[in-house]
This record gives sequence, structure tokens and C-alpha cells, in this order.
Amino acid sequence: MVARESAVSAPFVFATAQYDSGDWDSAPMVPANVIDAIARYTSLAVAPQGVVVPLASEACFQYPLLYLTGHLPVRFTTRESEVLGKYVRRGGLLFVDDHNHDVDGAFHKTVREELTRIAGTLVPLPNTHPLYRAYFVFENGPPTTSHEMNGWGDNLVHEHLDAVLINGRLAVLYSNKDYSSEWSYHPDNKRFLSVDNTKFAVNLVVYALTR
Amino acid sequence: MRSRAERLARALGVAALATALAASVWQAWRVDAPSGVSSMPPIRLDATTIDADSLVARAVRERIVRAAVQQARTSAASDAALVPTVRLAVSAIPRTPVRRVLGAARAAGVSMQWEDSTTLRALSFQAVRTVSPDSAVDLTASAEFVPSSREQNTRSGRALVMTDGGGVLDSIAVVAQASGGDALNVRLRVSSLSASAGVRVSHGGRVIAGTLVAPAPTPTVGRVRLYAQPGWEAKFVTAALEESGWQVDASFLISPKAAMVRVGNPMALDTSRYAVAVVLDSGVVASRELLRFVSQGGGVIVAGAALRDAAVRTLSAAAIEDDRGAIAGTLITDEPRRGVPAFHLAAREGATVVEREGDEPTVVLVRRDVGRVMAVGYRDTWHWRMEGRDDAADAFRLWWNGLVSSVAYVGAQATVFDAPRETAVSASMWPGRAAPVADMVAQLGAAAPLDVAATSSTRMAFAARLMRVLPWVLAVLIVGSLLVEWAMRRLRGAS
Repeated sequence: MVARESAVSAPFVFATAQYDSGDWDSAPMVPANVIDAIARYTSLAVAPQGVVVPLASEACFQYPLLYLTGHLPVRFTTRESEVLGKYVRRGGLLFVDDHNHDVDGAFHKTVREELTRIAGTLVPLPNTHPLYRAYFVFENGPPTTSHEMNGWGDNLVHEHLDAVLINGRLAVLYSNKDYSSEWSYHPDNKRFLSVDNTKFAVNLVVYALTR
Repeated sequence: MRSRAERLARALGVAALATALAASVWQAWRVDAPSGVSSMPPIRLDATTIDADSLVARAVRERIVRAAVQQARTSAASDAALVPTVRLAVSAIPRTPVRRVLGAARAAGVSMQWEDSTTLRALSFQAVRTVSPDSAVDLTASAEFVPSSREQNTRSGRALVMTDGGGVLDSIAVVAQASGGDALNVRLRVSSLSASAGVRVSHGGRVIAGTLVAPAPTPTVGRVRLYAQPGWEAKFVTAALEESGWQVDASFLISPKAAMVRVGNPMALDTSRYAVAVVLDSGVVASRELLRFVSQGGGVIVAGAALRDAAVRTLSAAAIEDDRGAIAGTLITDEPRRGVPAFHLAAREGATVVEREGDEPTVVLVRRDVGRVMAVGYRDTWHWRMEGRDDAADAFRLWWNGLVSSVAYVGAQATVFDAPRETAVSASMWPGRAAPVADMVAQLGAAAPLDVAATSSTRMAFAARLMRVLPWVLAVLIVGSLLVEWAMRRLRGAS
């Protein structure tokens, strides 16, 4: 047996889940933007680049926060289902975002079925949840995205995120507000924004690291 | 040449002498033989008689009285102070009241001889209330069985059953040992017991051991103050403790502008609020806070990278001696903590090594003032929970809960005690119901096969009695010889 390098106080690594069905890599710029936000607003040690982790691999367990998105229908394989089930039961947090922003869309319908089957029932997360005060304060719950406001997708502004809670702990956080589109730009372009719309991502990471 | 009459007289004389000698010997044997040794069968203690404790106790008392009366009758004719003896053939462990009677009789001078024919050679049973928010109870049983032809193939003969007032807690089967016997070692953690809080162990449908459980600790136990950098280790340690019922308070420095993220309601460290302080990283807590907390009786765990902190070094139970990297592939083995990086520690004077890898300490505990400080060498233990086996989350939770419970400050000390009817003297001197076989040995002495013991004591008593009657034998011989000589002279004179 070979000793691997000790990872004392290892930096936070943003991990994107890769799955067999659908287009898992529909938002390739999100990781860089989230990493930038963490580095910009916190003193947390963060790896400068994210990683892609196959959902069928137990390598997922090394990253207790996983990001999953897409446009197309989702059907997890047996192995992916098994790994994902273990992942959430052991304490990992899976953040899923509908890149279509469409409650009638294929991604929304199929991925919710899969998450319910593997992890449990998705329930609305109250807007008073500590997630919305984990770092920045979002008084009204999850921030609205520009894609909700401009009529894309289902033309709805979703008031809540949905979640699966295991032992009172967030195991799955599901969004159909299309943060994947909201955060898909080069970090350098933040200077053109009046309000940095990636602050909620900071809350998500800080919450995951402390709760 | 002797006449026929003379030969007949001589033969009669010899026969008379032999008869007299035999009669003397028989009389010696008969006079002082205590009835409890030679004529009374041993008292048999088995599953049926044990159930009638009062009858057994009465039978034992009767034997003792009879033996004492017999001894009193013959004491005038005997120089040896024969001790009344009670013999027991034990095939089932008697209950505490019976053992007490036997022990009291032995203390009063009655010789107790017993033969161990039980299938249960040793039993130890303990129930300890843990210091944790759920006040779980750790039940530990250890036993060794000698399989008998009667019980070898029956399920009830090869299992112990733990029960409380609410029913069965667990049934533990014995496992075969290489030496040929059967052994049982089990530890069971129970989160809730029935209101009576008494736990019993049964074997073959009969209760053989039992103990009461200490009352739950006071409500001040239950809060943990966590000092750590934000990260996966802090997250998962918090999760494990919260899942075990602890309330965890922490504050994390998140930004260069000293923005703090709070978990729970972190307050100043004090034993009126917290039972334990857990320090996972260096530079997150002032040593004076920890020292004051420990001096109040609080418990402190210094784990992982925090052991490098100069501020807590003087407080720590151990110093870092060596640094071991994580060993790949061991997270899914029976030694999962070898799969996380760890410091090997050098325990300070007076410290106790709680856990080690081979010869290298990894968890060390020491008393400081009235508190306790623990040094935990493992780092990034969260890998064990996430990347270990399917039961890793439970094991991780139990392990961290155990560490915290072992140093936690409690307002009123939790105690372990046996049945309340045990007297102060007996409770302090003998194992009581928690270890019935050991209690039997303590009360009655070591067991020995009855035949050998009885024979040896009989032989010794016979020799002593023979020496006492020898003068009478000699007197009979002399008188007999004179009578024979007189008879022979008369016959010679007649002829």
C-alpha cells in the first residue's frame, strides 16, 4: 500500500458531475465564475480550477459538493444511481440546476423523477433557511435570475428552491431558476454588472463547508 | 506336639483377636464420620432447583444444621474439630440470594465444596450510561462456554439474550474458539431503555446476570464548542456530533474583513454552557480560554492540525512525534483510520493512550486540573465518512461521539452500580450480579471435582480416627492374648 500525500487543510475544489445521459457540460463557464466569486469575497482556500467527476465513479466522494446541470432528459445508470445514493446519504450535497428554466421541459421532469427515486422527496425549501444567510443575506430567498425576468423558458419566477433533507441536512438542492445561464460568463465581465449575481454561489459554498 | 484342643484354642484366640481388631477399626470409622461427608449425597444445583431459590437455600441450611448437630454429638469423643461440610454439584449458576446463603455459611465456618459442571465458565456483563445527549447505554458482555452434549445442538444453549423491561434488546450467539470452547464478546449500544432501566442477560431461558443502569446525566451535558477553519473536516465533525444529539456552536472566519459565519449560538467558553471544546485547526482559539475551561472541569479535544498550534501545545495530552500520510486502500478495511493522514504522538507524563496504530499512539487522554484533554492525531477524518464502507457514516459518528463523551464535563457524575439490594460490603468485595461465576468463586472458593475432594478428606479423617482408637486396639490385643494363654494352660492341665 502506498501512502498518498496528506491533504491537510486542502483547498475547496469546485466539482461538476458528469453523467451518461444528456448534456452534463452545458455550462462550462460556471465553475470559473463561482471560483472567482469565492476568491473575491472570502478568505477560503479554493483551487483555481474545477474538476469534472463521473457520477458513476466513487471519486465523487472526494468532493462533498457537486454541481449538476443540463438541458436534455436525464436517466441515471444503475451505477450512477448507486453512487449518487451513497453520496447523499454519507453527507454530500448535490446542487442541481435546470439549464432550461422550464417546468415542462425534459430535464426538469426527468431529473426530478430520478432524484426522488434515489434521494427522496423534493420539498420546497423555506426562504428563511440558513442557506440564505450563510454569508450574504438574501431576505427574499433565492435571488431571481435575468432569465426568469425576460420570459425565457416557462416564463415563471420561481419563489423557492426545492430540496431533499436527510437528517435535517441539505442533501440535494434543486433549482429551476437557471443559475447555470446566470453564471455562464467570463469572470472579468463582472465589472460591467451593477450587482454581482454570483453572490448566491458564495452562500452555497460557505453553507456546504460549514453546515 | 500340641493336641487338637490346643490348636483349636489357639485358632479361636487368633479369630477373636482379628474380630476385635476389625471391630475397633470399624468403630473408629463409624464414630466420628460426619454424615455430610459419607452418607449424604451432594446438593445438586441445576436449572430446576435454581428456580426455587428459597427451597435450595432451605436445603442448604438444613444440611448445615444436620452436619453441625452430628458434629456436636461426636465432638466429645473426638479431639479433631471436624468442620461440617456441604457439597454442591453445580450445573447451573445459582442466583444471588442462594450465593449469599452459601457465602455466609462458608464465612460462618461451614466447609463448602462445589463442583463446576456448568456450560458457562465465565460471564461478565456491564451496562454503562454514556455521557452523550441521547444518554445511550453501552452493554458489554463477555462469556466463555464449554459445550456440553446436551446443549451443543440447541439454539437456546448457544445464545445469550439481553432484555430490559420492554422486551428483548438483542440475542447474541456464541462463536467457536480454536481451543474448542465457545466464546462470546459483544458490545451493544442502546439509545433508549424501558423506564425500569434494568438490563438482564438470560441463558437457556433463565436469567443469569443483571445490572441496573445509572440515571441520565444532567441537562448541562449536550453542547459542544467547535473551533475550526471552515472546511470539510469542520462540516463533517459537526454533522457527526449533531446526528448524535450534541448541539454544536461554532463561528468561522470567512473573509479578510473578519466576517464571521455562525453555526448555532456560539458563546464564551464556560462549563455552564458547554461540555466540550473541540479544536480542529491552529490559530482559532486562545489558550487561556481553554485553560480556564479545563480548570472548571471541561473537556477539550485537540485534533489534527491544531496539535501544531503553539498556543495549545502546553495544554495538549501529547506531542507530535511523527507524521504519517494516508495509506491508500485502507478506508474500506477494518482499520479505516489508516486511510486518513495522522500524527503519531508521544504521550505526556501521566497521560493514557486511548488508541494506537501498532506501537504508535494516535489518541491520548490526560487529566488537567479537574478537566480532561485529549489529543487526536488523525487529520481529515471526513474522508473516512465519505469514502469508507457503507457503514462508515455510522462508525464515524460513533467514533467522534465516543471521543467527545469521554472528555465531556458533566454536572453530576454518572455512576454504574449493581442491584440496589447488594449490601455495601458485598458490593465492594464481590462482583455481584454483573459477574455471577466470579461471584460464586469469590463466595465459595475455587471449584474442584467432588469425588477427589471427598475421598481425600475421608482418608485423612480415617487416619486421624485410627490413631485415636489404636490404644484401645492394643488393650484388646493384650487382654485377648492373656485369655488365650489361660485357656491353653487349662486345657494342658486337663489333658
